[in-house]
Amino acid sequence: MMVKPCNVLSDRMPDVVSGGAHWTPEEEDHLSSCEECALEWQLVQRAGVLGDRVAAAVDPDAMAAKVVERLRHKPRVLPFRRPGWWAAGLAAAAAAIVLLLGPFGDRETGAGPSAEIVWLVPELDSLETTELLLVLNSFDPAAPASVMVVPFIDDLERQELEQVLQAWEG
Amino acid sequence: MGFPLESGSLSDAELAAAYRAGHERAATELVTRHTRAVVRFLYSAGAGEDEVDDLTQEAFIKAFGKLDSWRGDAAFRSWLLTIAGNLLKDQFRKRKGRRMVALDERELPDRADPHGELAAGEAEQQLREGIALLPRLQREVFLLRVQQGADYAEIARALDTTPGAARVHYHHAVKRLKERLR
Repeated sequence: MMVKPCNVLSDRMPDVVSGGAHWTPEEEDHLSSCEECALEWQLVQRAGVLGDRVAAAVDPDAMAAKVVERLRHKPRVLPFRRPGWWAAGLAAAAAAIVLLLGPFGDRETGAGPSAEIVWLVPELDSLETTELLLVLNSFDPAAPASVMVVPFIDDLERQELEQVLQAWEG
Repeated sequence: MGFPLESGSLSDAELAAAYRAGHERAATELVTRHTRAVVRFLYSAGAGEDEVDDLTQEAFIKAFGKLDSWRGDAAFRSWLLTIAGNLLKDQFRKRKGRRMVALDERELPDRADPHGELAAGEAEQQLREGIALLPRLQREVFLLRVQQGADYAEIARALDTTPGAARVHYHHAVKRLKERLR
């Protein structure tokens, strides 16, 4: 199938305007004789330099200083990860231990946690916030049966965000 | 990990990894490297000159905040520009649907050459209006292709679409903009 020269030129225009390619003499001939291609070439050339004046007036070093200053004062948000099956298993195991051995320490006597419980504690350090909440919730008899951990909206992937918006908008 | 003095020789991915490892200078280098591209993109897409600085800052802050979601398959700059595009969309919403702000006196070129620069300024404004009125995907594909020289595969990765769809969006954008130029 013969590809129309207009289509070939149209596809190549952004590459030529960015300096990554050059017109052949035949293409230049076509540009000077085809009104549609000439109009499109004018458009691409103008769009290619659009904003250059404004961008040149911006000082990238000053922008970097402002951004870095803000980053210094911005708390780093932990990425939200859904707890995996192992987290649920860990929570269940922890809950079972608590049920069998009682909560940490004896509230009436003030005694500390039993040795069987203490060995679990170092592993808690490696948990994400959401996972830790699940485990802690299982220790607290006053807590509701489940804790809903809500991620920050900024942490959602695009598809997740679209699902949330669709749910809101019906 | 030490941070090399010649950070300009590092790739965006290396700088992103260095920032994640706690090297603040990596953030400085990334911002310095991409500031002008973000400014051009935002201004071309309809941001006012007085909005560009804040939106650019915000785009970088958001990008660093979600750096873990940058998969590295799309170029950092393309990914960053899609974040800027999101912010601009919100800005359009804040302007209650107005996609272009009125041309500010400060944005007009020097009137010493009324026939040349003023006409050029009006033509620039007309093109910006046309781009701002495009549907979002058409607008972003067009600017990534024409200003960044990104190919359709790269654009597709940044915008989470297919190269074929990106090509279609580009040609629809060109068709609409040509209609405005006639």
